[in-house]
Amino acid sequence: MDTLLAHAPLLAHANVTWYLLPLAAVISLVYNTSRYEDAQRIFVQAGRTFATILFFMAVILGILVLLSYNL
Amino acid sequence: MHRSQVNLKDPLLAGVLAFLVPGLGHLYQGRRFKAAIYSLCIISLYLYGLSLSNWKIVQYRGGPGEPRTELLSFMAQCGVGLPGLFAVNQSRRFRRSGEQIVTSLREPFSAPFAGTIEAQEGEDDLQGEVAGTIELAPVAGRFNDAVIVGKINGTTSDGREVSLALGEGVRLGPELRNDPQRFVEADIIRESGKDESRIGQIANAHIPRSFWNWFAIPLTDAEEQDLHRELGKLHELALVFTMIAGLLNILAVWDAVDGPAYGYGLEPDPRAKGNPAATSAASSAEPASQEAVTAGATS
Repeated sequence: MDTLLAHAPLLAHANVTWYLLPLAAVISLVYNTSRYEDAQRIFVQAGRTFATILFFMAVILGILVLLSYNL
Repeated sequence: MHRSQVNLKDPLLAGVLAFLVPGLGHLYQGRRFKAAIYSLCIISLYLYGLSLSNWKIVQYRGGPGEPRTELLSFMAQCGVGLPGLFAVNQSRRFRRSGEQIVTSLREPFSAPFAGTIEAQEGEDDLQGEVAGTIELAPVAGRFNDAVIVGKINGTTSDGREVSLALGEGVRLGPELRNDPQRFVEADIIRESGKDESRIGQIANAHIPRSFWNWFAIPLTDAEEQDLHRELGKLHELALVFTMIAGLLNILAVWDAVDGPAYGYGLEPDPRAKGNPAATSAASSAEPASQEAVTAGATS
């Protein structure tokens, strides 16, 4: 298990990256709740915002992994 | 904006309520769904950030000479109004009371107690953890000064019942400090008639501090450094969570005062692909969609 965690640091216990998921979810939901009144529209738009945030986070993570390759 | 579709009642009052407690302004306006989302999301995020920092991250250290960066982070946290205003009041109380060790009391009190005793009474060796109750009272001391005396009734870790008298000069931690535990220092004495003799002391002892006297009390520089050392990265996370919760509540206040920013939400999505009706409806005029929404809302 330790070996697995050593090769996959994102899975390590209490890695701060995991805290960003609920944070992104809350930001998406509250932001879109302040934009619309209809519940269904709020959830659909919040889902899109959440996916967008995750996409950009993944892109940045990918860039950082590439930059740190073989370091 | 969109007031024809949403009854904002008194927007100013709703804004103030939303500022004080996330979701309360929307509850007042009868927008229960939004009230639930705002309160659940913002309060949860705020409380989670607070709990990550052992409930110490929200504090106002805005005295002269304090760094401005701390003031900025506090202003962001202050978006959730009630704890923010509470922290300002706590800072004012703390600056007034100072950090003096308490050596006199206004009135007697008793509190739950836990600590270690180290005492020798004749052949009887009393050492170890004790948990029980401490009773403290103000008296006039030997030199007519105000001092504290007291008594401990408790049980040692090996199950013995003890009742110990505390001599003059009981010292308590400061009344206000960002720590739910308040230390107690005292000598244990043996009383025989008018004479009394010291037979030991209590160590590492503490009594609980009331919520009012520890929550949101500003940390000293040393306590702040200890918190950084203790929490590591969690300190920054806690700060970010509470700051973002405060900033998100500004959106909620705006919504309570002015209604939803982009519309009710039942209008056709202008970005929808392959939907020329939606695109033309969005580009033509808002009144058409407004009517549709109003009809939909009333049906």
